[in-house]
Amino acid sequence: MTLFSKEDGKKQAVARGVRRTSSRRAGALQPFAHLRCLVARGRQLDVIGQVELLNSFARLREDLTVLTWASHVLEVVDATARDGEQGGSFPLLLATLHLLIEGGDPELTVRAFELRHLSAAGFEPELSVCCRCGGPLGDHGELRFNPAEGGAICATCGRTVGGAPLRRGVLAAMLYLKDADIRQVGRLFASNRDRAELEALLRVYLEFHLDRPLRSLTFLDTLRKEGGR
Amino acid sequence: MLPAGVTRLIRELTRLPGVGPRTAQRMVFFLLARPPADTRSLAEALVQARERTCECSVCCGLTEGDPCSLCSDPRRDPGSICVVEHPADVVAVERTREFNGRYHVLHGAISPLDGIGPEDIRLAQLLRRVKEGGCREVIVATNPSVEGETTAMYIARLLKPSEVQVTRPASGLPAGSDLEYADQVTLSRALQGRKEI
Repeated sequence: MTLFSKEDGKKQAVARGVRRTSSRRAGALQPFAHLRCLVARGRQLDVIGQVELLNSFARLREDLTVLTWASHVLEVVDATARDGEQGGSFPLLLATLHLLIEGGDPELTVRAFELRHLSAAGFEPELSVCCRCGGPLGDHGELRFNPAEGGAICATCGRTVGGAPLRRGVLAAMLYLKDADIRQVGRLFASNRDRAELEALLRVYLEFHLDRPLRSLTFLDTLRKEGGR
Repeated sequence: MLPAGVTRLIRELTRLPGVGPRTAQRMVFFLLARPPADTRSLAEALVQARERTCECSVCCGLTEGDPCSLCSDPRRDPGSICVVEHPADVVAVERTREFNGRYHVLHGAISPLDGIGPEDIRLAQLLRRVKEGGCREVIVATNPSVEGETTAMYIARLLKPSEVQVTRPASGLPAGSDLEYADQVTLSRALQGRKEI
């Protein structure tokens, strides 16, 4: 299984005997679980010994949509973290999972997570100045968002570079979600259109940098098609 | 060093779950030490099982005849369908002798993290069965793991518009176990699902 810790980042380890019904660790060694565990260095893979469950985040399992958002969060961490690197995003991951079970706004929480995690992982989108010319984004003309260029594009550069349209309200929402206290992101007023655009822009940005589609979001699309967000 | 046929057999056996090169080698030497008739019998059993076994067109379980013996048994209640992840789970539920309905085998569970969606398991077949009518209750006996819970919630969501009751087996302490050694998740679920005595 894959562990993610503050000190050691992403780590692959095996938990022997965990599939047995008598295993005391089976309930704890589940996705999303916050653990304190003893990991012994192995020749090929490290071995998980004692496990203390700090939070199972069991309430995630009560709502399919929230569970899917949480899966997306783990998927992004797993895709961006490299074995052996420090887990700088660990407190952010923990805070995000707490907010998801506490019944906050799951969509905005996940958007805030994505923006902050991208920054921590070295993929921060440029939102303050034009990432093409380095000039101000200005108050007039249509802005663009281009993952290959690294973020927002001013109206002048946008004519030649291209990218998805970026409304100034959505840009302001992105800046707020990136910088405000994550516990306060639910206070942001975002219309359904703003939310859809935020999600689409960040999804394209993440998929461009990860170089693969996000599986959890594909499942979320299925859920939405069948009704109920 | 070893004859080509032996090396090939070792390589083929290592493709089995839980079998590494050393275990495979031990198995091959054991088989070579047995009388040829034993090895032939094993080979025939393997080929026969693979060739004769198919998926039941009703429950998607494994069978030699279609529909399977469980689906064609008139004594079993067609109004109750127990949904399980794998064919082996049917055997586990049958051993309890507590269930007299029919089964549906999904051959997996939804796992957004692994990219396994509803279209990758036998969910469409379950929906078709429920829509055909005659079903009162669907018992979602998928594993109490995140993937199993995701699948259960998804099935409940899909079947909500129909009048079919969707239930989930209770989860709690295993019989004969010790409370002191129960993990926190199991124990908290057991407390949530407590019954008056």
